[in-house]
Amino acid sequence: MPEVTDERRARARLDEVLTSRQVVFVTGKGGVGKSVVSAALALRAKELGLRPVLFECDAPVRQSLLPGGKLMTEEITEFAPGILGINQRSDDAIRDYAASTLPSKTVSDLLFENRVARLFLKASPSVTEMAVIGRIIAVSEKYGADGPVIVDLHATGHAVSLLRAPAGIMKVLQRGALFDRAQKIEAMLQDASRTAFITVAVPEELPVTELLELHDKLTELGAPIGPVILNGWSKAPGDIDPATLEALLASPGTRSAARDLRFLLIQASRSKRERDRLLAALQAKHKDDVSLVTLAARFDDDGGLMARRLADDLGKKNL
Amino acid sequence: MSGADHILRLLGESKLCVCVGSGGVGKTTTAAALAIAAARKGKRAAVLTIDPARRLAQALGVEKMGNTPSPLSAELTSPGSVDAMMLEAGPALDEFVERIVPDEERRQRLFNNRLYQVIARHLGGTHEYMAVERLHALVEESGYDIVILDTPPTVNALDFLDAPNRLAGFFSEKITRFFVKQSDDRKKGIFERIRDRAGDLALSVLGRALGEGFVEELTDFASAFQGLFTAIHDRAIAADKILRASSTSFLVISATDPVRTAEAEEFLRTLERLGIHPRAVVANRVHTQRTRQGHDQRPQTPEDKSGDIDAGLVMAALAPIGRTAETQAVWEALSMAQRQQRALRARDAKGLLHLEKLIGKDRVLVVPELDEEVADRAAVEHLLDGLGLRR
Repeated sequence: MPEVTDERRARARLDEVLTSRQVVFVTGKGGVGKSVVSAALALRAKELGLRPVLFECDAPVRQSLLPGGKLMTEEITEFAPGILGINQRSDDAIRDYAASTLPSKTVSDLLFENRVARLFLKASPSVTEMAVIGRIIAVSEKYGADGPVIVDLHATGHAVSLLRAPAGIMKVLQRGALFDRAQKIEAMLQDASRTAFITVAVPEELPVTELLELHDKLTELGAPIGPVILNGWSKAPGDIDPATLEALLASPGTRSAARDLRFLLIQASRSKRERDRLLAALQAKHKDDVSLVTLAARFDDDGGLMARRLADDLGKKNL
Repeated sequence: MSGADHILRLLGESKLCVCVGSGGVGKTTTAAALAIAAARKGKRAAVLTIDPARRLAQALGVEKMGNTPSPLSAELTSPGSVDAMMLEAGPALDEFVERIVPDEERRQRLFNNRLYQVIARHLGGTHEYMAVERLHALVEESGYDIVILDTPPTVNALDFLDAPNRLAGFFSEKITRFFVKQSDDRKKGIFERIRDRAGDLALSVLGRALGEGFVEELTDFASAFQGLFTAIHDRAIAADKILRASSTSFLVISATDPVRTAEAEEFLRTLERLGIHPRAVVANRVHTQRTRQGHDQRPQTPEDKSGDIDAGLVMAALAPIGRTAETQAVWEALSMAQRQQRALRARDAKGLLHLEKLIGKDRVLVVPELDEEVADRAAVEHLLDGLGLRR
């Protein structure tokens, strides 16, 4: 692992964020392993003595990404030992939202039973986002004292639309109960003592570029960023010079293994290149405010096992 | 029939081919490759992406891509052609309004409406609506032989499938009546008056909950669209028909790691539930056993320990260049690489088996992971290679 001291500091910072924040959003390009990383963060938080809540948004029904975990449901349950989990459906969130913001249940029922009102609520995207944030806050108010709510967001766009939703609502409404609420939510999303946005990338060109673009947007929207997690990093298998590799490829007895080696060397050099680029850009954008945690690539054939191994990696003392 | 044959036949039979799948599985690259494959078979093809990530331009080496078609170079596509397009929600919605609202003043009123502005520009989620509208125009009116559609990852993609229904529901005539003030009450029957009361009540509740200014904006928004709801509604219904037509095929794009195969399974299940039968799966970036001929179709199974490297073989290979002193270090590096690759191949073999069980072996196109790091354009060529259409 490069720059061991920095890596230790970054991991300590991550532990501190998990310990001190009420809501931790996890975001990044599709395919960088956000869900597995979110599950690993929940496991890590548990090991720090906390009682985390893993919050999925409209996740496809699938096997639990935690070892020994049950299927995640729309109700909050202890779905793995010491870890609460919820798979929030946005439809339910909208209904909850209406109920919690309106003066009485009769009024909210009337509103929700009304086809027009319901369709309008569903069709206007900021309402969905606001409703989901509302649920996240409700869960954090109820359970946040014991551990962070770790929110597994969809692709990068989702974090941005979540952050923009309060302003969108405020622009349309200009005043009223929901306006006040939107204002409060916006303040909460921007509060570095309560919230963190953890961004995830893999050491490939597009995910890194997209992460950096996302950082610009998050900064613009006042979101507290960090730490950054670089997942799927490949370690170089020692110094192998081109002439040696050529000789290994030329000899029939070593050819097949040499091809594997060539592949690994390419992965490792790409990992190094993209990690260096990411570090330099983070430094330029955020000075020392945002640290980078690097996690080695895992090739487990089971998602739960992978989350377990990543959490082990996060807790590793000898780097 | 092989996976490649199957997909080529699909391209021959379809007017619309929709690519769905999780993020990071090479969906955009695959959509681009399929469009080029259709063109190389002589078709006039279009490839449209509604992915807000907008990476299609990079995949195709097109400088700038927007709402208007950008033709790919003939060298890449002959004897057919490929037009590539992206969809930007803001401009597309404006364009749509320009087409259906001929009156300049009304149009301006709508453009100035805060609700419209927020929906069109400041928030996500309108992509699906506009994609449906665009899709309808492209498939029905533009004269393309085939349209390949790249969709946003996971949840959004499924929203997209449901978008026509939601759109039709939202813009149905009945709904507008709640918002639009009726000028002549006397002509109405008793039931209509009661219904209007219900509408008034809903509006007053909304007003109290959301602020009075909001209801005015809402009514204004609805008034601006008055009379056009039917047009939008009909379009949405037509678009839904397109998605369900027999000339439309759905492909699920996946990788073979455990998380992505589970997601692919969920995609297949959701499509079936929506009454859509996905026709094939493209398994991208599969780690296979590398042989002298290139790639084996089958990845190595965990039981197969053949080809373990031993130090003697390493020493023999290094002897001709006089570097036998490095044997131990090189042997360790080779062993590490072998262990890692074997784990990857075993994982992918399991994932591939899973995908084949879901849809049938002959409906899965296996695209092996490349040895080298390649640019997007080369990744497109690699996929064409897998379809047997490399130049």
